[in-house]
Amino acid sequence: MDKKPHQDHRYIEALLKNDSRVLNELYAKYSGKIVGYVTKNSGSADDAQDIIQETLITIYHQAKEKNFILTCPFDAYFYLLCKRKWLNVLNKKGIKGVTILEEITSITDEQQVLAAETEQFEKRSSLFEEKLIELGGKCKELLDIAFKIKKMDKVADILGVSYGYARKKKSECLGKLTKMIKNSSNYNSLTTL
Amino acid sequence: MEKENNYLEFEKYLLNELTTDELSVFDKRLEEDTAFATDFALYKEVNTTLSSRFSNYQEENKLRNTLEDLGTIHIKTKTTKTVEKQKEVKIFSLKKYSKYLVAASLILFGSLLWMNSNQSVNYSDFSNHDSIELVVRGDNNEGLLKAQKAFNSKDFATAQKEFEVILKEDGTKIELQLYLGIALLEQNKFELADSILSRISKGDSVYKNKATWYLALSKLKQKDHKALKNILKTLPKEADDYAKAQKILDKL
Repeated sequence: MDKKPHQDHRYIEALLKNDSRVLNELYAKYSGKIVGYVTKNSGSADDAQDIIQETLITIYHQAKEKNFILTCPFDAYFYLLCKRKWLNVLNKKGIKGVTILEEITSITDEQQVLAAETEQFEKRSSLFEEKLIELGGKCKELLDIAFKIKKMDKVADILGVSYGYARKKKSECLGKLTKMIKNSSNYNSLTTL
Repeated sequence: MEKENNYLEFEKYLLNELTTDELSVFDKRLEEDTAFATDFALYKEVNTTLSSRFSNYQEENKLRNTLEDLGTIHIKTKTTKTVEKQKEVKIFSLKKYSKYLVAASLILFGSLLWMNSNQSVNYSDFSNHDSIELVVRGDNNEGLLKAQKAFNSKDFATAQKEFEVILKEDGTKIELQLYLGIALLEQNKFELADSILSRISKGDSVYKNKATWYLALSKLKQKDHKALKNILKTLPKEADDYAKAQKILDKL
């Protein structure tokens, strides 16, 4: 578990701190390759911008929620993530991604593994969010409040119920949500992180 | 029923509310009962993930704004430059045919560039305000919701009215004052907009730099380039809009 951060981990730190100076450097160094890839693959510069932004937001969430540590250079890891994300977009549109000459030839196993982990993380959390919306009704309302406020005594105050009741209801609703997640068709393809 | 009881146990465990005895039973079950352990792991993961998404919603939005700005600078601007370079290549390829044509083209190209450089500093280039998120998920504040909706759908007259109603009741919310200022600016009500934005920019709130930026945009919209320059120069490096301000200053 003792992971040693690579020096490029500072980009992850910058995402957590919203450090525009370091993030500016990230864009200056890495966005060109992604724009090149997307525009050579049926996309526009705007598409590339979206892909980069959403990939960085996913990494931010992973760092925030899972204490993600970058143990390898950022370039190939980031490139792989953006590339696969764009291929997913193309797949959804029914367009086949064109194989182009890779600008990065040396992608290490470690970079592949970290990119795969980030993708799994994204898929899992998207599934959680989708199922929360599907849950709907009173349960969703209660969970929305509980997730936002966290302190159960305050949740109980807002709902005008006792502490014990709020806690019990939250556990039931969250339990119901986890059941829905487990029963969804694509859950089994997502490995636990 | 047993599952429901498990969920309550999970919740109590996460809230640190199990007694010492209950805790040792719980830990033992985690070790011995795989289904129980798997259910708990998922319960905990969903709880952590969604709690974090909800409580960091605003922080995430701020990061999105930064990334949006950087994307505009590094990707959109570069793409425009490439188009300009392509124009340049076309002009130079005429050299093969006639030196006079080259000269004429260069003059034309030069004037186009000159026109572009003057025209490129327009208020409309910077007036795509990010959507505002004043109402946090689950909040039930009708006035604020109306103001937010109106602002995000660019109905600035309605947004102005709604912000004014809310601010009459509680005038201390600087964030709302800022948005009121922007709504006024959008309607060309410069005098009032400038006075609100200028007040915020002189204060110590976290909206100080944003207000300075919008005050500059107001001057840009009024084509008061001298005031625009002076205001942009006061934006500190750490301001979200510093890079955009530098771009304008470069062009002026």
